[in-house]
Amino acid sequence: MMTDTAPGPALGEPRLSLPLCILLTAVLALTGCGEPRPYKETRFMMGTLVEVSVYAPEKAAVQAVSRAFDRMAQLERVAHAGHEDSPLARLRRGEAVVLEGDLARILEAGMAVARASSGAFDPAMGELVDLWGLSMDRPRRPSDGEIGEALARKAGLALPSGACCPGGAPVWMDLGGVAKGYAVDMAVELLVDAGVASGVVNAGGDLRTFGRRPGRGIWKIGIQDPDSPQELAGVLQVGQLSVATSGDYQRYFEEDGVRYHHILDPATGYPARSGLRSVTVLAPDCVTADALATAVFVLGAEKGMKLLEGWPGAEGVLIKEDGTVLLTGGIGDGIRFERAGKGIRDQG
Amino acid sequence: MMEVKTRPRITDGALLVLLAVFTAVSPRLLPAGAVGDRVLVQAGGKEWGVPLLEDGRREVPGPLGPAVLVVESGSARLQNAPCPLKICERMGPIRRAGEVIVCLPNRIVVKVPGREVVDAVTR
Repeated sequence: MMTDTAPGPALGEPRLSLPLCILLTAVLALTGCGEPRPYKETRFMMGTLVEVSVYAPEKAAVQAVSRAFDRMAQLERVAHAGHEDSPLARLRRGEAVVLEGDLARILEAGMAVARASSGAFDPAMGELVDLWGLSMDRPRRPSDGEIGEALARKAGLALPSGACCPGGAPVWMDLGGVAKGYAVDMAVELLVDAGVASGVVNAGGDLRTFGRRPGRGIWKIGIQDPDSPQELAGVLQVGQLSVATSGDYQRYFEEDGVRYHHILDPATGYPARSGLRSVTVLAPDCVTADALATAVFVLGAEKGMKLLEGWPGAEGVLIKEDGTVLLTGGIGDGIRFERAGKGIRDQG
Repeated sequence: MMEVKTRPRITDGALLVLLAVFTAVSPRLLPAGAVGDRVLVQAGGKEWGVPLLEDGRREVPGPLGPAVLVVESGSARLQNAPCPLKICERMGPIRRAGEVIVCLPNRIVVKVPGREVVDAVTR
């Protein structure tokens, strides 16, 4: 009697060929199957599209995200001059305003960057910002005379300091360069307090990550390519950090063949021409990253790099008009940056 | 313990078919940044899908007036937007997962759904 002596698997055991195992592994890896998905919600607010993306059980996520949006809406009412009853609107009317709480902290953060940048970031740009109409989507090229007069009035402004602004002369503050960042910080604080383990709050590019990104541990943050709105100039890999970008490529208008963008140089009253196209700043908090990005854009590469190198915990990715990229010393030390854009290249 | 053999078996065929069906019916499982087959449009408090495989033009309502969503050769862009800076017109065309067009003044968002290459974009 012949018997089959070849070893075989016991009945009921699954058997897969090697090629299929490889194929299965490749498909699962490529599709990211098994990777946790965040709960996401977006809303129009603070003049931009805000996305909150969290990793948490859905019921808890819905509640926490809703509260985070409520907090940001409350801050928008405080720090936006467009709201008639906001402290900023009242300051513009020359009314007495007590500066406290959130508004005082936003102003304090802005003034710290203003001092360190010798005024390259200036919270007193309200009249000039309105004159150019870029924040209100009514762009126009003001006359040189109008700009000169607004600059003179700005030079005479006594910015409120301490807790009280007694009223009198109108004070045209514009906190657009810091308020969004502060709102992001406060939203993250609220989400963490609510027990959300990790996520990203992104207010039109001013963003903050918190916790460990499930699946890969680190967060991947794309930097928009200044020349191609749907392409990335590069990708940052970070832990818990804030990131903000200032660039000349998104909000602008053209008149008589000249392009006017929205980042005004406080010294001239005209759009900054510093040789940079985009400045991305990384910092522990978003309000600082936000203000520093504007200041560095106005200062230009050399002075801007010095400002960042001297600011504790700040790093930067600067893209010049010719596409070259400058990185501060701390990039590569815990923070990775990979170039992606076609026109993006190393310095030198 | 699973035994690994080098020769294809009948069960492999069945698994392959399952795998193919699984991948085909689940766009969520496309690789990050893959070319999408539709866009999601958010406007006027509603959200709806528009296929990218059929060329066409559709009006998208907004508080400033309608913009036109143009689908052409598998990608989408906004045209004739009533907003003053036309940022949304410059943001297109889009076709890969995660790409998005936003018109802030007119409250319109057009996005290719699917797995994104990055967790967020700073701009």
